[in-house]
Amino acid sequence: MRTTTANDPVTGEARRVGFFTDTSVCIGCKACEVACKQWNQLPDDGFSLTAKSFDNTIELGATTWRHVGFIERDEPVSGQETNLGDPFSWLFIADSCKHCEDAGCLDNCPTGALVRTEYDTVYVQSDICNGCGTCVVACPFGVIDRHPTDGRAWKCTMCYDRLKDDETPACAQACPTEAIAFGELDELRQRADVRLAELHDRGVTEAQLYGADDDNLPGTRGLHAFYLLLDSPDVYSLPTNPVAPQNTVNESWKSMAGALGAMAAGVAVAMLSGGRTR
Amino acid sequence: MSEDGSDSSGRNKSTNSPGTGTRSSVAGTGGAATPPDIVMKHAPGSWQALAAGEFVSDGRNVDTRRAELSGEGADLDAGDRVGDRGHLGDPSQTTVAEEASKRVVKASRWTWEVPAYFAIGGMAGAAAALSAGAQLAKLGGTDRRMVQSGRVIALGGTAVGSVLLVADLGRPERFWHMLRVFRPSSPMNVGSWVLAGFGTASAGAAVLGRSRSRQLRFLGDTAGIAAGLLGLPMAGYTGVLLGATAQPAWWHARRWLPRLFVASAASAGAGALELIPMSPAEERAVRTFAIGARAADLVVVKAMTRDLADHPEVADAYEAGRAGRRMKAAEALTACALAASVASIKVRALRPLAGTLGLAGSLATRLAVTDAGASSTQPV
Repeated sequence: MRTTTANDPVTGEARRVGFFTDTSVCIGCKACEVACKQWNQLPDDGFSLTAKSFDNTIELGATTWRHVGFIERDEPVSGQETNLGDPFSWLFIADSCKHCEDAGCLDNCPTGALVRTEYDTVYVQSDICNGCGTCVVACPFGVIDRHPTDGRAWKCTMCYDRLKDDETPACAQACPTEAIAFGELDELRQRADVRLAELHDRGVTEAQLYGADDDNLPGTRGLHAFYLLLDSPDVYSLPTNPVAPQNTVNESWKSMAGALGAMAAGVAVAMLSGGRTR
Repeated sequence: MSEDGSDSSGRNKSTNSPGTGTRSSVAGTGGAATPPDIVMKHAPGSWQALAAGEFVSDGRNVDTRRAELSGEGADLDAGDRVGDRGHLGDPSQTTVAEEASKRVVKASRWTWEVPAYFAIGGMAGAAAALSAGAQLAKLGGTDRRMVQSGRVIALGGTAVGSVLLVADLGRPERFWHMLRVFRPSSPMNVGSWVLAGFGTASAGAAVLGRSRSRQLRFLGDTAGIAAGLLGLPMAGYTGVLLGATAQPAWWHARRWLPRLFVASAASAGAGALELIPMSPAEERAVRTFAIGARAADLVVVKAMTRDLADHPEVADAYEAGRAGRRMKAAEALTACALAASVASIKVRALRPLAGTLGLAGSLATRLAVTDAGASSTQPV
């Protein structure tokens, strides 16, 4: 299922933009998180500590559209040296909506609130969303969420309003190390391949791309916000093989059709048994 | 009131701004004629401003001059906190926050209304299908008790179910947005159309079926057939809907949930009709259907369990905790309902018991499956 891309009503052009998040140069400063909160005027997450990590944001949600996850662990990363006696590494991932090529939220949205924009991103129209919560269960990445008091679903818009003015999304603009690279998707993919080769040459064998193209994550046919990771996706709490659920929905419809055939036959048999004279 | 019509609370007034309607980029320029940076004749975020194309609305509009937020998203607050911090330095303890940070898929935000609708809507659909069958088979003579009570159950179920569905929405006043579009890729959208058609047909059938005019009765009968046909997908689409999600317990059971929900709905629809005394022929028909449906329900649960054994973490979601207890309860209730409906061949007084057990079993099934979906999103 491919939703068509709308063209820009003003210029008539369609662009395919995306994020390439290179976690190997992320320093965990959370500037992107703050920039996202500020630009989108999102409320704070409350002043509270997880007491288990230096990350206290915890997860993406209705008012957290960019989240830098911290993974503190007793395992080394190739090519990194610590002054600690024990092996240690600290991984970061600046996480957001993946703007999937096959987006579970979009195709499951019953109201048409979720649309594919002229930038090939996935966008929630907040004036349409009626808060049914289907997208929340349909997202294989657990990104979109229904806000408990506002009642509607919210997620990263890839700063649609900034794109409209030819601006860079707030998080990418704020990133001091260009760990979040924003640009045309094709260029980002080339850039990612170059960076991956560079890391492999340096002996960082764990480096891998996540969602760079259809072959990489066939279940969603790639991501428009894709990643370079320093370990397997599950370390980062990312699904190893996400599947956009509408790609399998026909199996369910077929099952239902068979069951309904049996039920209709059951009705017929029941009527025959009722109609027979004793 | 500011010049652009928004008051200090950030709420929009749909008034046109007085004066020229232009905004200067610098306030108080000392008379220097700066060109207006943006022409705004209307309050930001108002529909008039949108219609005039004054700016693009993303629902979170910032009046840059007043640093004020207005529009749809202005009222977002921080919402619930993830609970339970603490256990500093004790690695054996996990906090709620830590579990949440390891979760891959969000648990559904649905509350009890949704599984309750699954049960009631399914019951309504199956009852309508049985009613249409009885209508075609001309069961019940001139009294047509089975036909008419099936229609009333269908209408009542639709009415209650719709209220439950709307109540669960984050924005109930926008329930009709479900019918803005037809989106075949969204089972919930398809289901909304089915529900709308089914409700209309059921209402027509239930109301016109008793009419004294022959033409109206014919119209009611036509509506009854339509309700019977739409009652079939009513019984099953909710299973498809759950299968088309990323919740592991539902997605892995995507081939089985529609079958389970259809069988469960059939059991409940027959159960509702078992509560109503009818002619012997009608009772026999309902009973035959109930026995078949309940047997099918038990068989499908067994087959589904066997199929899910390949995915231990998913199978576990259906067996452990509250979902597991409800699953067992559902199986026990359905098995007892099957036994009671078989026994009611000889002892007619057992009919209402069989019906009650069937309805309870169906509700327990939906609650169990809903629970399993939620528990399968928790990190192992």
